[in-house]
Amino acid sequence: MRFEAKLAWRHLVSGGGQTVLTVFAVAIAVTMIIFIQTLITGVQKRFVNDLVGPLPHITLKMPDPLPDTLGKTRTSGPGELLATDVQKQVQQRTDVEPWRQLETQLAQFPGVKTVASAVRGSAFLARGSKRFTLTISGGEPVRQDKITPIQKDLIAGRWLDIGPDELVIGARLADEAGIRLGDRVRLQSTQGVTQAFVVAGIFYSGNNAADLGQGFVTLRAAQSLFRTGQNVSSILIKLDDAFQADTIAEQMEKTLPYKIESWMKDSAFILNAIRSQNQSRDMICAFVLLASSFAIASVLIVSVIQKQKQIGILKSMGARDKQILLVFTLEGLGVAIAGAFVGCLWGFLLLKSLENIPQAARFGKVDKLFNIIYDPTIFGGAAIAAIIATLIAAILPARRAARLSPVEVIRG
Amino acid sequence: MDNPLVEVIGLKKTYNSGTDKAVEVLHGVDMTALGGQFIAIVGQSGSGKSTLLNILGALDTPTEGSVLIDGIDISSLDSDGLASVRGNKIGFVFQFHHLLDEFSCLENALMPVTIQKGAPSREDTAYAIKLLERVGLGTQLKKRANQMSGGQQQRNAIVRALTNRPRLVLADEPTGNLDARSGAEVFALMREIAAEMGVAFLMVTHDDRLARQADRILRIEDGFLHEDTPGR
Repeated sequence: MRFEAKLAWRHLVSGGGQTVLTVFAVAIAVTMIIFIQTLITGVQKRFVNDLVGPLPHITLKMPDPLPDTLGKTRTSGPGELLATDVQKQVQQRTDVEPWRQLETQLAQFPGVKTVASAVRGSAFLARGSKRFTLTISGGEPVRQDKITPIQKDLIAGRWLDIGPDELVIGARLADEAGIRLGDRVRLQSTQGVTQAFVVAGIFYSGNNAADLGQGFVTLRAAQSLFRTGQNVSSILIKLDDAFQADTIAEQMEKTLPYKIESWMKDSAFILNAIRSQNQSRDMICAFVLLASSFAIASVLIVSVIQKQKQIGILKSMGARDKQILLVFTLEGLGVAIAGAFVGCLWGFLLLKSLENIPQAARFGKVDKLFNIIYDPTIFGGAAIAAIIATLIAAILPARRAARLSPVEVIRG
Repeated sequence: MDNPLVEVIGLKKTYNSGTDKAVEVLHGVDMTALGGQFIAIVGQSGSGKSTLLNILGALDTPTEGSVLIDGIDISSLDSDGLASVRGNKIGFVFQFHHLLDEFSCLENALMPVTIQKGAPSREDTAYAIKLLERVGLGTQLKKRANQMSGGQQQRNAIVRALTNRPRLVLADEPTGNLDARSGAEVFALMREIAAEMGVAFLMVTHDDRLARQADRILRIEDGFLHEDTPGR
């Protein structure tokens, strides 16, 4: 091995421009893979975060009551009637109880990060001739913020310490309805309760639907607005990993007699789009690797042709086929490792240069154009993929070198 | 009488064997060589000299007959077995030095040992330096092949053929690429080393003047081997 490694190393060093060219080919492939993977993963994460960020990953509600068939109630007595239609009963009660006990139970499931009870409902906000429909969420602000992060998006006022007569709304609603911080507004719930609130905070999340149609109040305020008494309408759960929602929801459903909803079921079409995007990304990366492998194989084949005489001489001195195979495979490995290292460095520098490019600000909030996340698995994966591809590319010329007949090459 | 170091019995070599383009180059060669003998192989171009040398050097295999090198019948060996015989029993000197440009004079000299052992031992290195000093390259140890003269390169190649302590050295026109003076020096050197080390030297040459100085002359004509008397 020491002979083979030494010879491979000397070949690479004496190869000069040829070695640099192959290292560059690998490095460019690694850089491209890191760039594409990071960019698309960043876009996806931002997209999923924008989509799922303000939502609970799992929501627990009261189960829908079982249908009570007409047929079942008419089976006894004379003059029976047959039921031809089975209708779902209109839900009578939506309050979840005992919610404090359920919160404790749910928090014990593995993967659960935060549990918060909430009262949610619809309400109208009237400003002049305009009426806006809002989804009002009422909960304890500090815990609510862990489910739907408002504090980080707050552009004016307060949120975490609001009182029972205070309301936090989105920037688009404030803009369209001409509401300013400290203004008094009236909300009328679908239960017919009208209540006045002072606008204590305004947030801008970038999600139009949320910025226009969501309002946040305390739990007590929502209980009063939606007439739930001391109860809540749902228990909201945030997980460590949003993509575990289906699995954990299933586990919860097995042990708890409630309706458990996962965000993934509601957003299946988006997940399919993400899967398609991932497949496209992986295919692009595979083609990049393939192209660089062909380039490397070509250069190594030329190198073997150039060194035919030397291979013959080494064989005349007792070098075995497998030793020659190893020499050229090690050359490929050397190129692959150097290329992977340089590619990771270039990839890092490229991402660094893109990291702080801003996009146009809205409501005074400046966001970055690219969501760059330095994921070691992307860097490591790109390096390993390039090393494997380069080694495969090196095997062909290495085998060709190993099979050379010393008589033929010495005779020339 | 000593056991022969090289024993060739009924050696035939046919290229493209089994096809209508089959060409028999050697038609049944018998020969022996003893340790310490310096043998010149002469003959016209295309007579089969290099083919014989390649088979004796375990670079090629015979179509028929047997070739014993230091008691090992190389005609029955596989590729690894042949490589092992080449690495341990045989040294080669070619018309062109074929030194590796990426390595120094000393590293080139140690190449056969490095191939066999992975890395040379201290004793191997000391032995190679001794041989390089013997051929007048003691001050050139760290020089690359392309930094030496033609004569120096060929002397380096001779030392390379000896560092694995072979029993047989095969030289294919070793002076053919050198000027007359360097050629004479290299030839004299090989002659001395053969006698000093008890190594059998088989040298293919076109130069009758050099051949006449060998212990034996083997002449190949149309695939048949005849022994000439040296000094005639």
